[in-house]
Amino acid sequence: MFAVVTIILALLINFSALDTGKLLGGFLASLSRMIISYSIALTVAVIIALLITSNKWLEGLFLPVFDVLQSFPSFALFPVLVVALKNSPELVIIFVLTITIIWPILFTIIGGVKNQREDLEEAATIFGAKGSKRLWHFTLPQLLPSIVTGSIVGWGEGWEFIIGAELLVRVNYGVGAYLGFLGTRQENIALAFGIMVLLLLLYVINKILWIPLLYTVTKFSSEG
Amino acid sequence: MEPIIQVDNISKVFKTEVKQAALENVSFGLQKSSFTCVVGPSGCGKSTLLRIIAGLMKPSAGKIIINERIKQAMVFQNFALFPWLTVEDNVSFGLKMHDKDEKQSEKIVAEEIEKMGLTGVTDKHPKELSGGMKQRVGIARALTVSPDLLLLDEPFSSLDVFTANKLRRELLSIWQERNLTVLMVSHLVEEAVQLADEVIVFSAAPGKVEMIKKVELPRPRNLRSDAFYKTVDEIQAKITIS
Repeated sequence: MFAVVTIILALLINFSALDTGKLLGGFLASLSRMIISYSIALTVAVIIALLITSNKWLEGLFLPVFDVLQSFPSFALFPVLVVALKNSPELVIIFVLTITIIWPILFTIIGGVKNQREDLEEAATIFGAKGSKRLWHFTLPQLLPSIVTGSIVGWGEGWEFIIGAELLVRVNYGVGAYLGFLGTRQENIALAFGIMVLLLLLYVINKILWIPLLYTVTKFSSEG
Repeated sequence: MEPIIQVDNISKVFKTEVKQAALENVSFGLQKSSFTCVVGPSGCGKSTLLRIIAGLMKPSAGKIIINERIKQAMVFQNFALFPWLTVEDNVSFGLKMHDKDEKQSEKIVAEEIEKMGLTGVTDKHPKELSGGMKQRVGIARALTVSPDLLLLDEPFSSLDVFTANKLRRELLSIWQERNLTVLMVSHLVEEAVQLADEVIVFSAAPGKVEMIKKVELPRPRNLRSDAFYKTVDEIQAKITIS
């Protein structure tokens, strides 16, 4: 089924103005931005989540702040950043993309920490899990399901954002930039095909990466 | 004989919206190699007491006098196995955390796995095991760190009667073989009288020591003898009255 759809799509694209080389090149450029931003967001989210949940006072202070910040639209940051970093549009995109991806990961991990089983914590303590050993052998494995769930949402929101961001900020390469270019040239059929190919590629990433990962980490996430 | 651990006038108040006294002026000592059971109605602070002794909670008043070198391990009511680890990795968890030499710990882990009858399931995850098997893993995990003091928090109350009975007998032989000091929390008086040298009876809200009863019935204990029932009744009466 999947193969048939791909072949038909490929044949039809041949007759449109869509340049598949440019589209795929753009996709790879956008994907690289996504990977960089996602890695930063993941690391920072894990650190912040573990820090603020380790202390009631910190949590009371920062949780409301983060809650307000996460509902702040990332696009609203653009005018300021474009002026501030006008020579490096790449940095602007990476920065704001990171901020977009971080919230779902952060809040899902905080939720995961809140749902931790108390007796598992006690068992870890009694059997001597301390410091970095506790982090690698207890805390992170226990939070993996939350981390992956948050990542899936964050990754999705990231793609939504990056297409728009590449249209707004002047970058030469990027799937958003290329689709924007087709749009301004009124190549509507090519644009439609471009969007279809993009969706197909995102579906493939989901199918080979996120879904198996989610399955693996949730398979043995509970005792019962 | 010097007690291995002395609980000295422990009180615990939980500071929730209303202050809740969980334990009040609890004092007792545990002799080395003894088997002690704490019984009492639910909510009498038995589990809290166990957690204070284990160092997981701080008492509001009083102190625990214990030799620093005493190694403790705990077996939990709901097993508290790490779900992402296999049986083998669960059992070896304590040794891994203490940087035990790898060859040596492999040997210890293999021994405990065999003794607890887990040989066929070392690669399985807790999810794939029955309740009885899970608690075997829980006990093996505790024994690998070769504890001096074994704390058990209602270890058999989530198991079916047959499995619980079998594990009780195994626990007894483990205790006798290894010269362990055992402190077990239970809500079943029969279980306490079957296993313990000494039963500490708690009253509820706040938890206070109502009676400390030495059980001098000869081992192995006859669970149908008059003497057994007499002891059970004596303890039961204390719990019902209070």
